[in-house]
Amino acid sequence: MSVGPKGELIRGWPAIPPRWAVLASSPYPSAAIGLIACIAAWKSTLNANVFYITLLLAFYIFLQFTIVTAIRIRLVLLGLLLFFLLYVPTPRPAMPEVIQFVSATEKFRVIPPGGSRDYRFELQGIRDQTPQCGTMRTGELNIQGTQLTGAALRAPNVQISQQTVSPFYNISKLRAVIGFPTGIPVELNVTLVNAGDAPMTVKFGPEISGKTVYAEAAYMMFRSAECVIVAHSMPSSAAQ
Amino acid sequence: MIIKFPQSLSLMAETRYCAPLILSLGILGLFIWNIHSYLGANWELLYTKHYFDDRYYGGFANTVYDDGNGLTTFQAESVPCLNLVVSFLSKTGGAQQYSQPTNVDRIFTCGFLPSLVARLGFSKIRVTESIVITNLVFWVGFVVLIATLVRIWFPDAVTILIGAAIAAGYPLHGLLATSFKTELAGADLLLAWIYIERTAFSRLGWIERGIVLVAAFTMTMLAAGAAYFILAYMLVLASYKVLTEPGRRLAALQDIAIACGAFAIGKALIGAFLRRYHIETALGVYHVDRMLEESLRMLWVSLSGGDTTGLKFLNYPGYTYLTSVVPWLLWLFFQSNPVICVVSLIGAVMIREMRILFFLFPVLFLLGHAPAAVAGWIYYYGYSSAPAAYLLILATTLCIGTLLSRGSRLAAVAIALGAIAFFNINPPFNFKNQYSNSEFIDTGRHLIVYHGLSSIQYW
Repeated sequence: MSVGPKGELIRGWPAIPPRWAVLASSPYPSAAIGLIACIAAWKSTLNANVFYITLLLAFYIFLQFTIVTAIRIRLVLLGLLLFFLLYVPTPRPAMPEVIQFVSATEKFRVIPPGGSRDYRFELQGIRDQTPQCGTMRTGELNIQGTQLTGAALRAPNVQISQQTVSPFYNISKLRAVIGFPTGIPVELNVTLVNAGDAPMTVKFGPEISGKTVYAEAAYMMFRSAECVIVAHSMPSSAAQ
Repeated sequence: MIIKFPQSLSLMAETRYCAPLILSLGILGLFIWNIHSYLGANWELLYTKHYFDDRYYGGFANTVYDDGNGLTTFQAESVPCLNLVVSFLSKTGGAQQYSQPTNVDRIFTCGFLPSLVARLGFSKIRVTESIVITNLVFWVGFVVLIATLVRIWFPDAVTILIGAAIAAGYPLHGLLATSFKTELAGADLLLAWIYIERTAFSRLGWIERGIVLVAAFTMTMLAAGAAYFILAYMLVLASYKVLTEPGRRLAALQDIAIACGAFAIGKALIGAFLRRYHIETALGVYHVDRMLEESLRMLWVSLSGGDTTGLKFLNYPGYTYLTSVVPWLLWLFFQSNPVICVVSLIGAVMIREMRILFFLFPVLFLLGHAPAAVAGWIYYYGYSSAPAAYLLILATTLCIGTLLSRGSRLAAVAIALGAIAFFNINPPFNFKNQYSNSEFIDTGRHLIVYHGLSSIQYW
């Protein structure tokens, strides 16, 4: 039992009567006090969160019966129980502010029949990777969404080929190879036109960089023997 | 040849202070190396990026938050944990207190425990930070638990510190440090239970054991599978005693009865809360009862010589779970952890006390990967293997301790360095193999992601 040399709980304080010391060395009194404290807090609505209280009490009892043998530690544990039972930080710990939330019903940007959507890719950085990655003459455009079979792609001064639509998870992915006969440009603008009869959608899959949100899942991939480079389309506000 | 754990460790006295000092610095170095390698990128979020995968969900990034320091993208599965922390910080307990989270199985680890951290932060710690701190506590706790468990068998500082060093370099904690899902916590809690079971549990009476187990199962029922791991550990351990120690057969059977009873009470208690808050667990969502029923029917038809065409065993056609899925999972696990697998296997053959691994490892491995079977998916997550991997890390350290005690220092040092090096030498390899094992993650080529002109090179 970890008490002072004269049987005191805290050095210099009066010694604990032996009967009390024996009682306190058992986990049952501490567990009972904890249980009573939890019930009192719940009934008095000092803390009525009964799920939290139950888990806290289970944690407390577990520790009292297993790793704690010293009276002082039992008391510290009881103090911690009371603290966690009654204290809630004020103000509440800050929750981050939601900038963009993709809800179940707002997972896609809708492009009506005949409508279009512009995507801009800044490719200067990819040109700069040539020493590390080698020269790349083609890139692969990827757009995720639905009803993409009705899509037509337009981009100036490049060659668009091998346009396919394949299943991707529970939606679809449009792929097209974009060739750069004269090398990768500084900037590429691609227009996605809905040439079909049904509304086409592009999936939201937000990416971030610094303070900018890249909302839509429209990106290009460049591959060489040394590198895989992904370039996200610029945000819609800048693209339109 | 059967080797026994040594009773005397006088050899260790020769090492004095030099080896412990080097090992302590090594542990510190491994922590720094892991933090340097993994912190700064949310590897779990990276894994779900749509450009990696043609089969898994694309664009799974769900919500963009501003936490005051800049923007952060969250997975859909991470967001509920933030709400859970706030729910546990509330003093009211209405029926709408807890909304249905995606990851019900982690309410304790990603909601309750971070709420304690948030309280200790006195408003200075953000909700997101409280979860990351909880992850870091689990990381340090894992290292300490391995060290304290090794100390039960080998009280010398060198073996203890070697165990701590291997644990400190185990890469999953670093990879998941900034995850908001606390998936590894189940394995950490299992390890904590093993420590309790080896030290405090045996000195308790039957009533006290019952109380402790009810408390433990109540806590861990929604703690990333911890309650299931603990129950499995206890049942395997007690069954092993029934088979191998006739003198302790009755006590072992009593342990089984108490564990099962306590588990049932804990499950009923937590089940009542889930009903109160209208929360459905994954077991209900994926109709585990139907899965078990169909699996039993498959077994019955198969054993009685009937036609099993169209029937499934554990959500997979025929016996493909046993013939394809499990071998695939085991192969991937071996690729990520070859040193601890080989050393533990040799140890389990050579050392009598370690033979229980032949029973414990498969049970914990299959249980860890059970979520994939429950959903009928085929995927590998490193953290699903963590309960089994932790056992092997412990077993490897005990083998090293045995070698040291028998004077085979060269072999012991070679194993320790091999295990530590394999876990730490290549962070991209760890991302691919320790975490996900997805073949489409190409770590053989540099991955560079551009957003406008700014870029991140992951490897």
